[in-house]
Amino acid sequence: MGRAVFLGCTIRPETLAKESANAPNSMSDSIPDEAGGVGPSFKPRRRSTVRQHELPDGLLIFNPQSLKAFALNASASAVWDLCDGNHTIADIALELSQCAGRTPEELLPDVATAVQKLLELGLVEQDALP
Amino acid sequence: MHIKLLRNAITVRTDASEVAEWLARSFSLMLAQQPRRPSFEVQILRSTDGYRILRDCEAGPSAGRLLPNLAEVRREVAIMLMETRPELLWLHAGAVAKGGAAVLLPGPWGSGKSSIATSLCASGWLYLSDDMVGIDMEKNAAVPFPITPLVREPTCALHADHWMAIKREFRLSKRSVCKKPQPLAVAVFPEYKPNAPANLNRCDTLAASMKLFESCMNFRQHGERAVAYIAELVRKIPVYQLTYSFAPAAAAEIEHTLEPLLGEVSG
Repeated sequence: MGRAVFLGCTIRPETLAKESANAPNSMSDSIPDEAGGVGPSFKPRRRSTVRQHELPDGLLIFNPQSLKAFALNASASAVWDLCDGNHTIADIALELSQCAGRTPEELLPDVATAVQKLLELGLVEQDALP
Repeated sequence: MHIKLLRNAITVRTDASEVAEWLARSFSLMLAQQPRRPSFEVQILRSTDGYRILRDCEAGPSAGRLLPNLAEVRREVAIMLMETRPELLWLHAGAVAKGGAAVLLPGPWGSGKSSIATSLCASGWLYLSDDMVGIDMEKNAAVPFPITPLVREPTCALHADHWMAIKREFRLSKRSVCKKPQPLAVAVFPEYKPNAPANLNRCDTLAASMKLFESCMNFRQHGERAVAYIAELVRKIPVYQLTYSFAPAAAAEIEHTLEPLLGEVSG
């Protein structure tokens, strides 16, 4: 049987627009890391081998290495789109806050959890340090 | 005996009369004359612990696979047939057709694929399969795999240990069996819920794609191609979730809601 995993995060998907406003550079790094999790300065980048397919209500992601498929709901897709190696987790929270009706501080734990999950599943990696 | 799937066939030999009889009934709609060249030959031998199934030239006392009962023999032969057409994407699903278009019924064991498929056939739909369907991804068509359906007795609860005891064969006439691949028009994911009225609701594409992945039987052979196909399929055809407790009511709900859609596809 095929292996499929549903990934969602709770950033009020109904209020998230795909085209968000311009992203400011970064938020303060003073927000503490969650225990064992990724920190606000972490810059996730989508793995180049991972394939994605757009659906009306989210994204279908396939990792050819693990032969696993993942469904990302609208919120998780919005995070995924910003995992480009340029945005830190704090940047992602800040950018999404502009269309989610929540403050960046409120969003940060959700974003960090989503990125942590994507990292554990081998879908994103940390951007190489300069 | 020779069992055929499209232009491929396997030859089955057995020393157990109960196996021969059971397979002849299970594959009665797929039996063929001796093929010029079978895809492979299968031998099923009675042993003290059940039945040993050997493919082609396998030999020796521990060769092949040991299967505990006739239900497993049926399943194994079906899987071997499936393997004669690896280019198809095989789904754990039932399928029926009307008006030149197919409704796919993907679902796990116990979801009621067979009961719903046979209920629809009883009201004039054509049977493609009750358990596994090969999909031609290029043509977006469901390939008939008309194994004799096994239907759960309405009063029986789900007991995996007594699988054989609680299912009965559903006799289909040759006229109610679909012979050619049919374009896929709709997918319905059945879910049996005790005492629930038949209820058919549109399903979101993300959930539908996940359910389709979970029903893929040879996903590893197709990988990214299967992913791309499933993504395209759920964008292209309507997908529904069906909750029900009584299969004829579920079939009536499908017929009432989906028949107009099938007309659009075939037209």
